[in-house]
Amino acid sequence: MRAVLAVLAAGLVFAPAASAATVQAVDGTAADNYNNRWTPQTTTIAVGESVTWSFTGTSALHNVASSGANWSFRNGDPGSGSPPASYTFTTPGTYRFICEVHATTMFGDVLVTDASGNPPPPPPPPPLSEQPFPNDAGPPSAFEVDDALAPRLTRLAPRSWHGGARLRFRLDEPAVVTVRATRARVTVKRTRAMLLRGRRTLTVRHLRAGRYVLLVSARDLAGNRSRVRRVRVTVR
Amino acid sequence: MWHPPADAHSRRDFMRNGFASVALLCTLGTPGTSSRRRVVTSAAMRSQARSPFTPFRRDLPLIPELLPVRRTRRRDVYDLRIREGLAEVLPGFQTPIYGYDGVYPGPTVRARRGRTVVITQHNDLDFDSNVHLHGGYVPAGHDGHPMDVIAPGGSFEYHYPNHQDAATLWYHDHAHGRTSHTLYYGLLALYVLEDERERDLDLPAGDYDIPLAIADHSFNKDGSFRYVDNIDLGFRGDTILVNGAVSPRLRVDRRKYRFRLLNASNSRSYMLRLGRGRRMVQIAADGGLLARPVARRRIPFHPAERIDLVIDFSDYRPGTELVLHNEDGEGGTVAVMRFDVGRGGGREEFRVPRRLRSLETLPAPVSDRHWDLGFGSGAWQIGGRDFDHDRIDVRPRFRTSERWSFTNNSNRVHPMHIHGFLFRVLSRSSGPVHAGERLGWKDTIGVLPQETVTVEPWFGPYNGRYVFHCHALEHADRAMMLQLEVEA
Repeated sequence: MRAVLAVLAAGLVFAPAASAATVQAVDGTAADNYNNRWTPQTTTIAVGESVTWSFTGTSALHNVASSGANWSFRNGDPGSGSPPASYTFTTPGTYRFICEVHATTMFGDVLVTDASGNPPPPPPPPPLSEQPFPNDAGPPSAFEVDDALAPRLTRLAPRSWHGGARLRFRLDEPAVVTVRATRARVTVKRTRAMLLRGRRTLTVRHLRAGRYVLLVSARDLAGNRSRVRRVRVTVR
Repeated sequence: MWHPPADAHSRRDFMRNGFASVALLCTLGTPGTSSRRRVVTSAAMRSQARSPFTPFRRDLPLIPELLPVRRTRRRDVYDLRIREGLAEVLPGFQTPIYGYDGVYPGPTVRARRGRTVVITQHNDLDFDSNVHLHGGYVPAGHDGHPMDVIAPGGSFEYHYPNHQDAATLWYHDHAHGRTSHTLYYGLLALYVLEDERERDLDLPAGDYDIPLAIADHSFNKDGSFRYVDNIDLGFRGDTILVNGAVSPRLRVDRRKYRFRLLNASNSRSYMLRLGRGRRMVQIAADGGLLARPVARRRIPFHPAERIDLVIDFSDYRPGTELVLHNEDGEGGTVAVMRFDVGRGGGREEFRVPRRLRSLETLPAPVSDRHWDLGFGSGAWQIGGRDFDHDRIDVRPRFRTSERWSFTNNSNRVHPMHIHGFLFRVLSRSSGPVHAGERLGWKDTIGVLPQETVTVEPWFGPYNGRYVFHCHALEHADRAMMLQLEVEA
């Protein structure tokens, strides 16, 4: 028995490729060729039967050719409105075909069963060097980001130090850090320094003995200010 | 039949992904990366770790510069090997490439006007190769005509006289029928030509003069480049590489930088935009400086074109992140690279001069020629003809200019390139010619679908046999190339 299946090159932007065996008559010149597909994409036949590829309904440039080492077939150079082309499969297996112009989207498989209708053995998976590794990152969510995050001061540890107060703290981004030593809500001394991220130290020198409140704040490169932290220290 | 670089099908297939993912997880787990106000779950960490395509992960690789093996009073002598190599394009993977000295992109040559550059190219590959200095005034015998090839194991001494204005040029493979593969796999590099006039302008130099080679690629699961042929559209990758890294980031000082952009993609055209449409100042095109700087907010950028930009980062607060992106892209082909504005830069006196050069006036064109671009009889054609190396298609007269019109009858962009000569862009049927193309010399012009572009090439300073072709490499390899011979 000789079965002839029509596989149409449909120029088809919005035509779902899954509508198997339907004949899509789509004007290939009206649409961009990004979404060219074969319809149906997978065709199953018995050994000894033929497949016919036809190119009606599209005026874009197409051809059909084998892809893979297990068969060799090509109907000719890509052309517009080429005549139908046939091939008879004599060995069970899976045979991939493509249009050489649109190989990325216009590919399909012919599954050739044996005489009793058993499906062909699945093809071995290709090596990693032939499997696509698609970029799954997607486009960036913003094309311009201003630094809007304020720096943070944590783990503040003050102590008396040679007639002054030394403050250790952790800073989470480069910033200008200001320490004000206040007594009865009056600023007595002030120290300021540009510091990098990490565990840092800042010293307020020349304080008289007594109890002080240290007010610590940080301003980053973009001008974002941290909230003011308060710690008590007794200078001896 | 094409084969990817050797070793692509080897043991690296085996468990390669597993090891790479583990390695990435380890590097991500370091303290400090889990910043505040960001929810960090182990699942999120894993999903990030799995993708080596996440943009802005890597710092921009700076392309190495080639050092001469010998310098004499009038010439710089270089030695290069065209060979296979490995590049770490995706973190944790080794990508087999072809490269000049096994590097992708190849080492940059910095040349001075008036000093001859001699490069001995050794072909260590097992197929023919040659080298074309794109945009250079080069004698025909050293131009890298598609049929003048270096056989495997052979070598050739290319002489570049450098009697032309300062410009961002590039050199790449040009063996006929193979360039879409060899350039994709890495046989391209920059050639920066400098001169006194440009130096007198005090443009950003040294660390602030940065070449950017932009190309789209796809990958296989073992990290190797994946090439899928498409003679209609040309190759389209799903990832943008700049200097061989996936959409990298560059930390910049608050000052002006000069970027030399090269579209090294096989066939992809870009529409470049900075941040929310920020200002970029174009100072040069393919053939060197423009007559005056041109402010641009959106730049169409076709294969093989070069554009020199000055971007002033002192306009931005420290901490700002600006993404140079491709408006015509989708998914992974949107982000090109990111500039992270830092501190520093100090007070800068430099201003881009209002006049950069005076453009030479061309003699009146002696001839009008028209070329139709389209697809016919299984190949791309210029003027209804395929490439035939035994036929000379056009014979312009030496040291004259002509008016050439390219009419694109197809739905694809055709970046037309003339070897050995520069041209000026006269008109576009789609609208006025942008000042960035009109005010300088060019060697490649993107002809849009259904558009007619008229250019005026000047056929000097060397005579002989050259080619002109479409620089969408899949088109050029499918015969979209003709020969011209300039007779003295």
